[in-house]
Amino acid sequence: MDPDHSDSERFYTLIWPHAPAVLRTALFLTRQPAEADDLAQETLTKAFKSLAQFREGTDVKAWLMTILRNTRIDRMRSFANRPATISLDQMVQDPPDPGTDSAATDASTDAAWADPAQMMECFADQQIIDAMQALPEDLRWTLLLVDIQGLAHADAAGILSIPVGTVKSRVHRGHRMLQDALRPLAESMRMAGSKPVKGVP
Amino acid sequence: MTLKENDSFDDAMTNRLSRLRSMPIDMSALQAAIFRQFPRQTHQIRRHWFNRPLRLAASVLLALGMSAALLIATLPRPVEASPQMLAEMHQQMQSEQSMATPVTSMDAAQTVLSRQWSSAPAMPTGDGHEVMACCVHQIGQKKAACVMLKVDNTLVTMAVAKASEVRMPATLTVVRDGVSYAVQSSGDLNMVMTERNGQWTCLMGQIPIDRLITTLASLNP
Repeated sequence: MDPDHSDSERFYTLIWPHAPAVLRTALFLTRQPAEADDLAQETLTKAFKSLAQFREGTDVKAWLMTILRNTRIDRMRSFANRPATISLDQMVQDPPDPGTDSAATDASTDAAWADPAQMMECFADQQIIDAMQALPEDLRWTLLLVDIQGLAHADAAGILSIPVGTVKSRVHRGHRMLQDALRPLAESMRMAGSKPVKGVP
Repeated sequence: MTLKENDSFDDAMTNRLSRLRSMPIDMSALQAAIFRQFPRQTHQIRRHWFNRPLRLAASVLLALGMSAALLIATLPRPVEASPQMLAEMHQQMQSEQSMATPVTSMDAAQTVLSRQWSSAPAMPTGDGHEVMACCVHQIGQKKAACVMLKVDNTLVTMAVAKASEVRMPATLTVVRDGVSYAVQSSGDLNMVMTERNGQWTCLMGQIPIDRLITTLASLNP
């Protein structure tokens, strides 16, 4: 059998079903459809070329997310347009205590967030995606992998090359920062006395 | 914030964010690029296709589904009389290039229309208006018999079609003397239509809707 044919069939049965997840993640990262298409295409092309290295039994989505992340980092380096981020080293060395930081204090006193589940329902998908842009890239990646893609903490830790405990703390910190990013919107909704229709930006 | 509150907060965030997983995205550009880059080896797929019972069953189901879809698509369905279609028809009737045949009575119009369309519907008759011209028009893929009338010195187009072929749009409905009239407009052009005796009849012109309704009501189906 022609190995090219075999690769192609393997690609379409193994990789292609996860293409929407790759493109969606790329879109959440770049927010530019054309750029997301390019990023996803490059990721899938690399996956195709690396099929021989893929070990059966490995989580395909986690494997693709690793490639996507590396591709994104390469592209950001080559385009030299890396957005301003908070130094991860600084955050790791000196992490704010989620239980005592000001955001948490605000949240506990903010009546609007008394029922966080209900509050989150008030925001449209696009509003949440926009708010996620306020997060540093590494926290955004953690939420993308764990919350949005539904990967296990261990898989996310493998992709991000960090300990599982760090993934957990980043998830919590990411939630707090997302809450802070959504807070002005929540306030304006409270002032307007209305809630946006679900799913409509 | 207590530990329990923290958990509840994180759960709420996780639940809401997880819903973004199913947010629809446009795959067309990526799909086109990937399919171009890595063409699917159809001949190879075909070689294995019928070796697998599950796929065979799937292909049978797919074929049945496609046949059903084709059947449904080719079934005669009524076309909706949209304001745009009707306005276009009215404009064509009024234009000098119109192929309409000049007639002076509804009987003459019926004779001309029957010649152009063997199964032309019976045109409603009535007084109080002048008959100017007639022709057969298309509404979508369906035929409609049209007569140009003059009501209150304004040109009004009357279109008649089989109710099974042209349906009234879901629009404002006015009930007069127990008869329902669908009412719609396109710019200054008002349109009133109703269904009687299996026929869809529409009057349209730049005159008040009330006048169109009384004119339509005065016509005997």
